[in-house]
Amino acid sequence: MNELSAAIYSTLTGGTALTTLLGGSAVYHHKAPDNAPLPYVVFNKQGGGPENSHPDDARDYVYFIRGYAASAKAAGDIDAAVSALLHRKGMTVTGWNCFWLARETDLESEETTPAGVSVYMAGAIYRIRIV
Amino acid sequence: MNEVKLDTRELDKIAGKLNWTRKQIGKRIAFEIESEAKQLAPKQTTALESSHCTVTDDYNGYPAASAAAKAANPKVTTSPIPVPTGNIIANVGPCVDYAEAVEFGHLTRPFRKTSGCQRFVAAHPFLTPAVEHVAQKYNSGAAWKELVE
Repeated sequence: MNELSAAIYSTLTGGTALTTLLGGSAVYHHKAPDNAPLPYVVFNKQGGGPENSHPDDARDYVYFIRGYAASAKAAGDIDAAVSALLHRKGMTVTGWNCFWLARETDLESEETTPAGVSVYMAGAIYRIRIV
Repeated sequence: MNEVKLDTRELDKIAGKLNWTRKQIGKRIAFEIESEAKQLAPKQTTALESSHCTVTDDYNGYPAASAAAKAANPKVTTSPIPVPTGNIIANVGPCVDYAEAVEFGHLTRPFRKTSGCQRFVAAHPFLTPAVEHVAQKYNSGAAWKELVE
């Protein structure tokens, strides 16, 4: 849903603490561009859809929002900044009313690039309900 | 004086017919998630799709799923799905080692020594949407209706 992706992007890039950690607005939908410099944030829709439980066209989505950085601490700091912006907070979604936004599942990983450099991920699944 | 009456006859009928145990319903949900996730899994060799299985305290789908995944792609390695304990009724999911990277996205793997550049592979979720879809079926009552009719 484009409106929701735009809302997440705007909310994240509007957070001063997060953009300070990122050194700019390095927030990407689906995936970071090849060779994008660390750190950055990536978000994507992980699941969900129409609730179909009542006449309103309510939607229940889960988004995977995570930070990538050169150290576990930096990734964790980005994750915390994202959480501070989203968890149990309101969000403006054009044409919709966001009535629930909450962090649900924490995830983290470490991967090694072909150059042998470790890249750390820290993030979470966020449930977003709109109507 | 206004009065609102709740007609519970339909609800009573449903409750009376609901002879399923918690374990039976839990297993049913697990197999539904397995089925949905298999349909949503990206398919190249079909190893990921085939590797989905459900494990309960009296059923273990792992050996067959592992064999099917290795038949589809002999290079894959698999890990057993844990047998549930305590209040958990079933564990369900893929058993190939790269499933998590497909579900959540990943950087290019070290063996792809091209230019040393860093590439990011987007997430291709299959298990989370399967869980969400099955949860929505039960939240909306559609699945409960199937259980009693």
